[in-house]
Amino acid sequence: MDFYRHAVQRSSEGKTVRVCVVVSNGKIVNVIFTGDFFAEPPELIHKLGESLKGLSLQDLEEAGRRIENFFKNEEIWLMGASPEDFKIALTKVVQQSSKTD
Amino acid sequence: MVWRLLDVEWPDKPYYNMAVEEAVARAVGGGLSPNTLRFWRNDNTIVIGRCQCVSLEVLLPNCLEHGVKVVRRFTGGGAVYHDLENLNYAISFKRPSPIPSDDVSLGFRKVGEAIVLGLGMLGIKAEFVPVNDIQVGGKKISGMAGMLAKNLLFIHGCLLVGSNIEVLSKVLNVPKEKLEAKGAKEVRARVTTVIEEAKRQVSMDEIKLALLRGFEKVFQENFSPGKLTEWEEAEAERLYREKYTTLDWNLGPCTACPGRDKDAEILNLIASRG
Repeated sequence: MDFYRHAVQRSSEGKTVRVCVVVSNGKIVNVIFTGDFFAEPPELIHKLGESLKGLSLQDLEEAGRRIENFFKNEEIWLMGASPEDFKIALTKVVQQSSKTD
Repeated sequence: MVWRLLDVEWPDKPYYNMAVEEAVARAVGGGLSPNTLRFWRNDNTIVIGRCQCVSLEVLLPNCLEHGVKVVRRFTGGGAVYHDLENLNYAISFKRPSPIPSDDVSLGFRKVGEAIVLGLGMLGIKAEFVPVNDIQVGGKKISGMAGMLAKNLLFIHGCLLVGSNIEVLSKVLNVPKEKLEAKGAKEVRARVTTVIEEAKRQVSMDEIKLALLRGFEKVFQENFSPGKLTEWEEAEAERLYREKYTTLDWNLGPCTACPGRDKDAEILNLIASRG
């Protein structure tokens, strides 16, 4: 069954990281991070979402690892939010899903 | 090279205004134009940040109802509402810039100093609040956005002069997490305007002059009034046609939102109105 979830994480610098996730049969089929943070080049943020596709929504450990590796390996400049905020946003989606499923 | 002051605007053409903004930045970065400060306005327009999802940040049906246009800018940061009582300032620096290490956050601070100085000349005691806000008594009066490219450091912002905050509240979907964290339950409670703070009518010319003096003082430079170059005009035309008027650009990359198709229709309707 497909479902859509959205969560918001507010960074310590006052910016928001939003994540929209589409899940099909327990697996992430689409995930997009957006928000009022600053990123250069901005297109790379969408590549972060690509790197999480196919994961089980419950596999937060692996998702967290991929997010960390992404920011470590890509030449991306980020201001107003940290990689941790992206991880927390995704965690919030999982928590929401646990409550409603 | 003497720094340039541009006072050029197309308030009814927000897509073109944004195209000019990027064209000037590109010209400065490419060494075709000197460092440039621009003042300009949009009328009745939402400008959303480069990394934002239009479906989540903007109440699009309300935009349609209130005749509000929506355009995505090329810098990050949050969505803002522009009307004729909202003055935009933009400064493009060729790198290396006068900002230490060409650091964007220091750029916000330095440009913030200029705006604070300018507001001080109008009798308003403002302060820069990191990351990118200028506040008066804890209320936001101006927000900035910026970007760093290979040859360019660019900072722009908007100053609420007497903006129609009631419309702003109806068309922007500010996350409750953000409002609560700032100790305010509604948009109205956390923003203020030049006119409210100065407690008198202040003309746009007076504000522009005060801000210009602030920039001159902070950057120790004189600005010479100028106009768009032929290259900038041609580049703005191209960006207007190929980027800022396109649905792809304004809708953005959030393919996960369930209402995307409907939002695309609304954006097309909004764009078709001019």
